[in-house]
Amino acid sequence: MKDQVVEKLKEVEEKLQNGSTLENQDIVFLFGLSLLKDQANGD
Amino acid sequence: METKGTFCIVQLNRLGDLIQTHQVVKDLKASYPNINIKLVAREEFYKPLEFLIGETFSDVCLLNKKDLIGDGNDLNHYMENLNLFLKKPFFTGNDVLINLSFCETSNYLMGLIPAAHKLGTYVGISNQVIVKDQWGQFVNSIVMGGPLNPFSLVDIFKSILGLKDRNNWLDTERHIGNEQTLALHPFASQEKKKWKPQKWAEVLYKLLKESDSVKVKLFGSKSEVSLGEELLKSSSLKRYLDRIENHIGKHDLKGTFNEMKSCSHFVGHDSALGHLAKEANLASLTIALGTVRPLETAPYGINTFVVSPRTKCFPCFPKTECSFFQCHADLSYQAVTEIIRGFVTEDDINFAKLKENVSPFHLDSLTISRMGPSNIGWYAQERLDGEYSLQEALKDIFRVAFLYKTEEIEENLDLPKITKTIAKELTHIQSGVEQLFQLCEFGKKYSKDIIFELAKDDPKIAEVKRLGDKIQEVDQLMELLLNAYPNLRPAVDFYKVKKSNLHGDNVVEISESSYLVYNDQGVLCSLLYDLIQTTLNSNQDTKESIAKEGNA
Repeated sequence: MKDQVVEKLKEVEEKLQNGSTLENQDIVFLFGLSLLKDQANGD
Repeated sequence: METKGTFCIVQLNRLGDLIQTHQVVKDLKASYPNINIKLVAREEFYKPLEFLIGETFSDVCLLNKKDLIGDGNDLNHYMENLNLFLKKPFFTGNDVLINLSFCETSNYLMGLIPAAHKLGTYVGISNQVIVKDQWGQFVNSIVMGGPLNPFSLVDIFKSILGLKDRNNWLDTERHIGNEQTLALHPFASQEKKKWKPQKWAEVLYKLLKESDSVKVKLFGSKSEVSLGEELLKSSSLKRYLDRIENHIGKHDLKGTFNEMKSCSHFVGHDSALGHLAKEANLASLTIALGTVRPLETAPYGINTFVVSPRTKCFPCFPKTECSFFQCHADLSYQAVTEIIRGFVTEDDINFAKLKENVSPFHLDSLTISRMGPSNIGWYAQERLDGEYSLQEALKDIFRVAFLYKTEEIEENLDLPKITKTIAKELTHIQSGVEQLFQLCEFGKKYSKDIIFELAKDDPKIAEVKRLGDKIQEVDQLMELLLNAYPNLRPAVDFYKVKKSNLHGDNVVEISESSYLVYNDQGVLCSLLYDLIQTTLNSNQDTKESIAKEGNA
């Protein structure tokens, strides 16, 4: 899955660099990505 | 008027934050019983607390990372799971969606859930973080940005939810199980926030040796069993083990909650058990270390005390590298033991008495605070000992100014008692406030000039662009000002977030919003200037002494 994530991330970053707006599925991906790398905050 | 509707709260943080969210919602429901309140939380944190918070919410949606990831081999499968999760009926029909976790994951989730209104941060279609409500902006700038937040998180959450009545929790009755029985949780989630077991062993030895009537019940999770064993194997405690009950790792949170009710007092570092003890209505004392901001995270309720070090770098940030832990050393076991002894045996912390029994060497390096309601019912920190640090004095000044500015509430706090050094620093900061005010005036002028230019029959786009650049310059100068006056950060950052979230659909509307934000910031500067002056005037001796030094 790691390679797929890197590829999709590149695609999303490209969109952002070009000033394009993100599609709903891009935000779903970013939500999923943040969940993968997430450590819950606080106590 | 009867208030109805469905509120959906996103709280993805840990146990303590969930308990605080539950405290806020309990009060909200007391004031508005017809509101439907739902919760999105992480399953791992919600489940252990279900016994306590389950009935607070009308519906709960649990996020289980492992279930969503599945076998972790296929992104498409993960995306399918995420989409299925987001399509749950739970996420439809929400009138207000509220982010109380302010983390990246919750920001994205907030961006994906439809709602008529959103409070707190969320991500928009350009991947930018949006926050439109002023208390959400307050968290995003001042709470996240530094140590000068002057409010309890529970009060901030109440403000985000629009709850005005702050007196519900004052009806709470104190619970006392067995007299002089101390519930002790000597652990926390991070090294920075807790003493080593050996230091706690010294505290327990001194406490039990000098107070025959005190009994101790140790609490902690399964992951803290070995730390508890390390503490209890201390040879000095051998004679007192019959007065120590070890409950570490023996109960789930519900069992711990019930067992804590057999105690009279709770002592611990900043952790979820402190908030749980407050739910059991025990008197509590928090030993704050490392990243802990005493007022911001103190258990919310009556009979709450916090002891914190006066170490210059305290409180630090979670990412701040530290291997020396000076703040741990600055709280001596001698002083803390005496404080706990008074707290448990006399049900009070009397600073005058402490001065008789503890060397000034130990007492001078710590601060003791009693938490409780101010005249307006907001949670406040009352210093039991001497003079304020610069940070403490500034926090009180910011608190009064922000409360007036955001809620139009006047709070009567005692003016800070300050030393000559602090008075000098406040005088310096006051001149920074003057400069910030002048920059606000420029910001207002350029925003107004754009509106006037666009109102002309033949507006010049180049002139509008020039004025826009000037506004950018003003904002850059505000940032530069912080190099000389870092303590003014709350007065700059709060408005910086506001400027990133200006209302309006066209240049005129945005310029009008920009004018109003600079105007607001200018008003805050005037308030800060006056409050600093009043503080300096109230410490007249200090002020005169500085003036004499200046004349000499």
